[in-house]
Amino acid sequence: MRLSRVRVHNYRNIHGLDLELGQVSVVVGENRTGKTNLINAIRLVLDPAMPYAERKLTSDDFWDGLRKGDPTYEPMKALETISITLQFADFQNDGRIAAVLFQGLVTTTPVRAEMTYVWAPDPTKGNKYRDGVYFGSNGSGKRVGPDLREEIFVAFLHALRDVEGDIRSWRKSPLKSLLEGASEALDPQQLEQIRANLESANSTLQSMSPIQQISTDLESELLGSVGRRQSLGATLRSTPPEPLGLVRAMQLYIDGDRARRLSAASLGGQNILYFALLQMGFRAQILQKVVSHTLLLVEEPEAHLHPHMQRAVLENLTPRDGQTSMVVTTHSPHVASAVDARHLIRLKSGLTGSTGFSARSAALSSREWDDMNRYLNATQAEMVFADKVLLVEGYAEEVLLPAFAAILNIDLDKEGISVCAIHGTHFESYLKFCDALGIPWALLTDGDLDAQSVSAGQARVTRFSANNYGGASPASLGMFVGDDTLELDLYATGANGSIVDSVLVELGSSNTGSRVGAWNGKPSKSSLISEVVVAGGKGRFAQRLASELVEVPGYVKASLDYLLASK
Amino acid sequence: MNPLETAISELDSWQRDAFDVKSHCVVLAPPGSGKTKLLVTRLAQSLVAEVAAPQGAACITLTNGAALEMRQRFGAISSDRRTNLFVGTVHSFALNRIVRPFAHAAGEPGLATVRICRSAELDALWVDALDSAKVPSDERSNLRSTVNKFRSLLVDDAEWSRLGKYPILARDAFFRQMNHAGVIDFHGMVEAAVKFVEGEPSIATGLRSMFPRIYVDEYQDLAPGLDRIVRSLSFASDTESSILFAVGDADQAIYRWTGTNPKLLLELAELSGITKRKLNTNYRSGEQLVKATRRLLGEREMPVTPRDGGSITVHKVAGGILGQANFAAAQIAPLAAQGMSLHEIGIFCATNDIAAETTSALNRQGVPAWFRAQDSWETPLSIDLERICAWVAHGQDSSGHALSEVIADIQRTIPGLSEVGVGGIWPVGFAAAPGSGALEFLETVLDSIMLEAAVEARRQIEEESLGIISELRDGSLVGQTIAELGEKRVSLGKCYVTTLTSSKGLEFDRTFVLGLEDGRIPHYYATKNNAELAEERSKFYVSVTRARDHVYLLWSGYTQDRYGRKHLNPVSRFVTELSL
Repeated sequence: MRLSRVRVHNYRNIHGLDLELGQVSVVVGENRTGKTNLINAIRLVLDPAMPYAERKLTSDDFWDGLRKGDPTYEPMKALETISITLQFADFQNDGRIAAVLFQGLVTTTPVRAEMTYVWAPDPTKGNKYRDGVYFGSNGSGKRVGPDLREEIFVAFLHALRDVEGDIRSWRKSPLKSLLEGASEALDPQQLEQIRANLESANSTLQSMSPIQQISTDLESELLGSVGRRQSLGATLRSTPPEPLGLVRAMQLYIDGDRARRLSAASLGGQNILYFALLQMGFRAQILQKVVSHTLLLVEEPEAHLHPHMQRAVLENLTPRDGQTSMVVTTHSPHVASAVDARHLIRLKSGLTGSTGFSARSAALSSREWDDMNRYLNATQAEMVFADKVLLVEGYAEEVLLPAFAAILNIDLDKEGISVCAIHGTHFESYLKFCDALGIPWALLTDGDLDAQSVSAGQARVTRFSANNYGGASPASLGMFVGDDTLELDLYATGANGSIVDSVLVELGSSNTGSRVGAWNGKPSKSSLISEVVVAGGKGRFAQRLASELVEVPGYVKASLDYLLASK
Repeated sequence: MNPLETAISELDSWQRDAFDVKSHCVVLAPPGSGKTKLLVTRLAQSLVAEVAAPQGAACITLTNGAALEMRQRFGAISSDRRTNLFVGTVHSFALNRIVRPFAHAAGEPGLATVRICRSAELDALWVDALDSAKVPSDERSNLRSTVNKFRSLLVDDAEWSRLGKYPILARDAFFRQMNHAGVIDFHGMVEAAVKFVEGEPSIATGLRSMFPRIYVDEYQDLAPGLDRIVRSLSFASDTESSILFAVGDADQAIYRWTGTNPKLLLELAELSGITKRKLNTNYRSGEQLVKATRRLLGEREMPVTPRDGGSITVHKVAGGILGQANFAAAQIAPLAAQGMSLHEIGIFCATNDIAAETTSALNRQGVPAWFRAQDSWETPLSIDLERICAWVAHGQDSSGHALSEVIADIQRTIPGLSEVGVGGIWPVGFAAAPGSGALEFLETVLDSIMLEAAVEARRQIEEESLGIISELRDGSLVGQTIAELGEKRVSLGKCYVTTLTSSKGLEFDRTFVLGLEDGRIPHYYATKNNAELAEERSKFYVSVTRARDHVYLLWSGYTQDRYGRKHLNPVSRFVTELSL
């Protein structure tokens, strides 16, 4: 089974969200784009352990845009509804989960089922609001019975989790199912023997006079204040009297034989321990057939962890079978770059509430996905965290673009623009990926004139447009092409020629000066490139040039203007 | 021992043999052999030991009455209330577990909210359909029963076209009328369910996961459509089939006129992969009675009969049905004087009309008797509402209905009710006076049940109560008090009069079968056709196997037609076949 889709309507900062999900979904987005609300929305549908107070929504839980600026507006007087629909796939081969989800079958090809949480007025009860989880796409289906809802276990890890407290409190502890499973397998006779031993140790301890004194004092204190009828029968014990209680009372310690309390561990160490216990707990629950699926909802798994640990923990949590699925929110490039790019989900806020984008909707071949994964891995998934992306061919552009922007008085960081070099001209899969994630992009590519002065770059962008955008004009899509190569185009712009000449002379060999002087401000492509090579290569040249106040080539400026205007 | 363990320990060796089968099992069970007990015990056991929630089981029977008994017996040995547990009638299963839940996925969203059509409304739609299809009046006689029989047989188009053009025209026009009105009839539920299950593999997969065990009672009376659904779920798939446990008795097949065929049971029992088991103890009837009734079926193995005695007597009584009723009354009066409970006496007649006539004759003779024709509005909920009325009027001991039991039954029939809602029946029931109006009372009860009920539960409540409420509001029940409405659920202290067909599944100390003139039983028309004659024999067999101690067979030697003319008739050939 896996979650295949989520739709959220009118909930908090989400007006209308429709997202494709996978076995694993890693949600990125700036603060206040609705990551936590998305997790909460999923919990409203599936998590019976969600506290009553959180399930009963209030007018504050309605999307703010419903007000349309009217401060006196009350969404629950206007009888608005909040609804959250989860769609499930690949459940038909597991009888137990199928027995639940088939009740919400919405399509047969492919087999998909849905469940919907609704917070809506009940017309038969004077429009009093009530919550409910129903099979199907809206509130009109059959209610999901509690026995069915419990079949999917939701493990929710809050961003501000109290790991130590959770492990220690019996109700929340991931140790619980492990110890319960183990206690069933224990030999009852042996257990009884241990209990008897501990009991005798316990009575010895109780009978030692300083301890006994406390008990006696407490008793007379109680007698004095509430009288015999209200006697509480308080006793001091170091172990619980019943055998199974002994198992429950077991606690985790760290540092081997030194057995230090868990609170002595670092926050990071506690988190790692917690994740490991969770994993074991899920496996135990599924083996014991207590539940048939675990949905892991984790906010910021990276919290308190070293970058390498972040990746390791995430990889360990990632489901390997159909019995677990996971939704993770993160601000960590280490986490985002460690997952399959298909799992990425990007949330973005806007005037009509948060919108969401799912990378898996990009039509990439599996080879293209492999490329994308390698690229994101190498670049720490910078693209995914950007507001807008300027796609360029190589390192030279990557170095020069921030300088060009500064010359044009554009602050790329403030504008949220990342310059991403793809190291080639295979832009197409990046365009599709950005489109899928809703990242506005522009691309800069060289004209690369051939011997007949035909622009390969123009042909390239025309092909991208024809393949993906119905043949619209490349510039209108954000694709900008230089005349030939960046260095030549730069040289030919305004008075840049003399600046380039002097940089080449500075970086070049002792003979550079005479060769540069000989081209007289009009170098051929081959001679310019060969001087760039002599100067240390395109990268070194670009780095050095970045500190000069050059005039920015027209197509570069056009691409930046395009991105500034895009939303 | 808990109640389930007790029930298991009480099974005899035949029942235990069937109980222990873990794969598909067909149990052939003669009258009085404890088949319902076996079925319910097996169901409860499989929920404990074989099927872990959320998966469950479907336990299917034919009539609302049988379903009620099954739910009560199940409730006595199991408190399981999982969502995927169904105990009810075939039609309820088809509609509430197949057609409605899967309507959207099957691309027929209209069926998700379709309403069961009441019979008067259906009659009107049929006439409209014939008019719109321009069926000439001389083509109309018997057309409806032909169409219904063919629909129930689920025959293909080639078979339909052999009937000529009018049945098809009428059928299609009728479908359009029902569609337009947003209603469905009983055949339609089965037709749609078969279409979903056979046409959409994923729907069949879904049902198999929800119901890995299927229990069917009275398999011989299952319509062909239901047989097909059961086979799809249990035998069509290589993997994960639902395991079938079917119980039936081909000798008691009495619904052939609806298209059912006892052969389906016998064929099923011979399929490979099915374990066939027999029950062979008649716990109900005395030995002599069993011996006599077995003779009807020709040379057959004799069941074990732990009860001695039993007798069957034939009486030629003057005066036709009225004379026979008076004769019965004369036999009953001394029995009552000796302290026999009258509800241990059953009186069976060929038709509803004769049953009604007999009931009034008995009452005139001072013998309390009641006759319950199955009301067209009867639903599981309407029965429970009447039981509540009986409880209000007579209390638990004299009505035989405990309110807690009725409430538990309502919860089992309608999933999605709130505890607050059903709990509210208690104060409403305690506050009601037996002489006050039933309509107002039931409306208060229904309001309470609806409290915090899920949407689909409300829909089911409205639908199942619509009939009885509209009859109380402006139909045949206007002005009835709580006591009057509850009366027909009070069986204690009254002889029970019913038809041969409806005597199925019942049990009495003594029974009377009236009107045993050849031509009436079997009906004259049935004597022309072997299959129909066999069904008439089955009905008779059913009626004479109801008694524990004594069966009285009555006849007068003549029948009267509707013009009052007398026709001489010999005694029923079935009586002769008993070779008394």
